[in-house]
Amino acid sequence: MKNKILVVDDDVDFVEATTTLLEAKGYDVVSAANGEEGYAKAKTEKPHVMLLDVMMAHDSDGFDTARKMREDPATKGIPVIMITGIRKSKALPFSFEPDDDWLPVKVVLEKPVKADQLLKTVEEAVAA
Amino acid sequence: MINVFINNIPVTVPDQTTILAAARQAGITIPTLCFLEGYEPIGACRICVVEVEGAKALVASCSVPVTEGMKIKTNTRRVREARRTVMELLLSEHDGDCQTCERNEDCELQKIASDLGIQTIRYAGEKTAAAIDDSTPSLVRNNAKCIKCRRCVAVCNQVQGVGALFPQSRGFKTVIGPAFAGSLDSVTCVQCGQCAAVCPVGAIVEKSHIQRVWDALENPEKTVVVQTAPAVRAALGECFGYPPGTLVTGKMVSALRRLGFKTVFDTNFTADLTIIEEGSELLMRLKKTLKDKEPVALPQFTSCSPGWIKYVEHFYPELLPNLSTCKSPQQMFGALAKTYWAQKIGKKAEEVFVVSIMPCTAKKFEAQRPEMNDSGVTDVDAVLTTRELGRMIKQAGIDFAALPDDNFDRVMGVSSGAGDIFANTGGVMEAALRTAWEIITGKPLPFDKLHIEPISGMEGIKEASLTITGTLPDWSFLENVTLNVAVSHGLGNAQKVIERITSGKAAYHFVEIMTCPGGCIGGGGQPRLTNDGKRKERIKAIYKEDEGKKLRKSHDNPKIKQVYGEFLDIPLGEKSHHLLHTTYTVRERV
Repeated sequence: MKNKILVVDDDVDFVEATTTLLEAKGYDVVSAANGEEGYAKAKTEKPHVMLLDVMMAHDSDGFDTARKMREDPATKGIPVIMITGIRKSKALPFSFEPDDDWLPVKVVLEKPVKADQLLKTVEEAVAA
Repeated sequence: MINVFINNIPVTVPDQTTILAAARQAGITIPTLCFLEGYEPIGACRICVVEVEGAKALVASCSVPVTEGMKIKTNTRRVREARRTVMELLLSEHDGDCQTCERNEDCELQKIASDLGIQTIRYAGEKTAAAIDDSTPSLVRNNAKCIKCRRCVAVCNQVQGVGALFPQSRGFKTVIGPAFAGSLDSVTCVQCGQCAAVCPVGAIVEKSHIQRVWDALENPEKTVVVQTAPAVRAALGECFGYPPGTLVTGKMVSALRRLGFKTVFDTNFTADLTIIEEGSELLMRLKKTLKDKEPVALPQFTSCSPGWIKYVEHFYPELLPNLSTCKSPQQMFGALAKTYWAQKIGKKAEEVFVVSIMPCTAKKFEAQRPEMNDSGVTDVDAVLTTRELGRMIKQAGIDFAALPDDNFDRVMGVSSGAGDIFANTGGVMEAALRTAWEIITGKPLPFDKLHIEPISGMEGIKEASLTITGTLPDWSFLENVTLNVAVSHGLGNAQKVIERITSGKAAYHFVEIMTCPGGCIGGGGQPRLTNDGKRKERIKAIYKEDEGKKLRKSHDNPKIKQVYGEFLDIPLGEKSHHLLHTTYTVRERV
């Protein structure tokens, strides 16, 4: 059985490129365009790993979704890789890191993410 | 060098040394009341008289320099009698309700009277009428306790250049107070409390909020949260006999929990937040002027010190656009505690009661400024000085020395070393540059241990120039720009900095001003009696706290990332603008 990856991002181009990349490496890929849809698909599709953007339906959509997933026993076991351009787009003086108190994700990657780095991170998350 | 004999002991001291200083060097105590280390002698109280061979009258040792071969006696019958007479005359008009006085057992008059062995007062003089001035939110003056030593006049005029207090009339009728016998709120008093910090008796004290805090702690409808300013941890120990510069952070947190505070947070957290906001504001101003070529007010002045803010509002209203619009860490804390934290614990703003522990009396004034209610209610409800916290701990029967160390609660209690150094002169500037430099270049500030040597220390005005190289693409307009900064403490020095700027002698980009000498560690609410030696010890302690932390820069603080990620969104964003920034008021220069 193929490993399934859920890609949650409102950027259609990013979703398409990522899907192509992951499918080429033998993954099954499903996608969602905002946090709410992503959370719903996480429950029905039961992906092995979820890639999650931050700024979608609203500015902290991804942060909120990650927390909602942790609260729900049906989704809390799914490793979340956060991929975001928030630092650059908002000119923040810091980058975000996983945080038990409020940002329950496995890793935060900053866009643009190189293909090999993305694949390596996904591979590690699937293996863990 | 000058050779003298004090009580037959040969002493060698530098030229211009006073008899008092020479005696102290020789280990001989001479009582003083008006004398203040580091200031021009006031010479008002005459308690320090000594006998000098060949001189007809006794001389005031605080103001007379030694001369070669001088023979001084500090402990003759004549000297003892004269000092007794001076003391008895002071006591004859002093309102001596010692048992109920706030300064009981912390009173220089009481101590010297005891040292001199005064047991009766031979002069049944007229008592000074009580005239209590509680017109300001920060300070209470009681002329009936005033011994007219003029220390407060010296600090208010010589050090702060504010001129709220003067001696008026002559002889027994002398009163110390604002011009035309007005109240403190009728003049330009900035509420810094340096007068209260040097008053040898209970004539000027902070307006106590202790009862307000006990009431809140006992009110089941209030969720009480406390914040502690960075400077408090380096001085609170002095209230319990620890040497100056002892860090008591852990015991302080323990003591607060035993007083009944369920949640203990740290103003250092919002000091870090101030850096993010104020650093972003500075970079925005630099971008406007250098890249967009738009008019913008520079230099940017820091805005953490409420006495300095009130000073600018009175004396330099034309510079109000230069003040950073950032609220002080105390007020950022209040606004966030009643919104961000209240939401987290499922409370409304009006159900949360915010207490601040501050080294400062002006913070009481700041908390009641009408604009400081962005949570919908007053953001900070009560402000205790370090001294008041010390008294509360004693009232509760807590054995401070026996307390275990405890830690701040996390949500608004995690801070970086950059937050710590807000306590001392040069600290806000250094903290801001640690972050701004890294934003601009992506690299850490290029100094040993991240300390900017030229702007630390006790010199009144300090300057530094940093040429920026290796900028990131977004900041390339700053490549090879030399950033000029200045740091000053004590409002008299601030005035000199402003004169340098307005006369065109200096062109700074960023200026840090702290109202009190040494910064907050020398604040008007700190344990008495602060001198330069104590200031240096407290500053050393603060840098130790900073260097001991894993996090040294505000932008590395994970709780700062959380508050932006969860609540504030972005620096200088809409929510920040509403909750963390403020406006200023033009005030009369009476």
